[in-house]
Amino acid sequence: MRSKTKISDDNAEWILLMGFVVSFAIIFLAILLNLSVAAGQTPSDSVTEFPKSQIRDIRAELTDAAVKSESESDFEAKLDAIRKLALARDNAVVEANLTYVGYADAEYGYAELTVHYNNGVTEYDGTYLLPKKL
Amino acid sequence: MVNGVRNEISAGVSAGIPAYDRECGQLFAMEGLIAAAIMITAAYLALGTVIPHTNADMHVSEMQLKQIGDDILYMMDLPDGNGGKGYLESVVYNASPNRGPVANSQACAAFNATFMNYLRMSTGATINLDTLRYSAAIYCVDDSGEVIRLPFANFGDNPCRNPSVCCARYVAAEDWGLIGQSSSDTVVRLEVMIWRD
Repeated sequence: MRSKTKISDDNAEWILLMGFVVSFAIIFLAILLNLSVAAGQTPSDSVTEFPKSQIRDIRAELTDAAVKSESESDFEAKLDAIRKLALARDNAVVEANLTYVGYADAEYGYAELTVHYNNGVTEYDGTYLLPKKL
Repeated sequence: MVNGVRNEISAGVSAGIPAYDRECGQLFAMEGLIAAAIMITAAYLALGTVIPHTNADMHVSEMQLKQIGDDILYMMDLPDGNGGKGYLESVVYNASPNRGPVANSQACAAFNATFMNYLRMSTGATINLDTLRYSAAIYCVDDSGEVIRLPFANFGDNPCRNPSVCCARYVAAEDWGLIGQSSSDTVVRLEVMIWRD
């Protein structure tokens, strides 16, 4: 007979090829869409999760308490309140240590304050030297 | 291009055979079916991947609300001058239960006025639709070491209907105490829940 069946086979291969090309293009685009969603979610989510303001707040409050407290027991009372409130409301462990007798020069004495914050995901440790005129 | 090639060949070969052209139409039908299936699959995939996108947008607006609330509390707690006391400290001083109900309600009103003023702050060039609501509470430690909650100022109610964020700040409280308990210089935690109505 003639080459009728051969020609029909060629046409089918074109259709198959184009089908593959289109399918791969669609899969590629779907992967890109998925990636863009992940990129939108991660930064704003992690900004909300990261306890930036909590750490700043505790640092500021403890520094303030250390400077203004008249005695070591005054500071301990405020630290105890912060410790309990942070554990109850923020699920975070707060610890601090204030050493009055530390470094001194001709004009100032320095108290050393260490601050520790840990909410299970983020941990923070800081040491501060607080000057006081002798 | 597929169609162009096919037409050229079929036109050359099937000059005297009309039956061949009729058979070729089935291939076009198949191609149409496959194309339709691919387009439906593409639409299904595209719609399916768009759904979590709303979650990401929600996080963005929550992040903005939280940033606003934390910044407002920070501004209010900051002293106006060197070595002075922040406005929030004087509000919390008057909000102590042993100061009496009159001082307490005055503290509520003062906090509400300042907080709402900061919350509504805008350029003034356009009129903003004011949809921000808040509810504040003070947490303190009583004589037995338990953390207790004291309701404070609020604007609007029903916070459960919309997603809300919680902002908090520790405030130094002078001579703070509950009714019938000892008072001392301590620290309380002021929590503000903010949401859009």
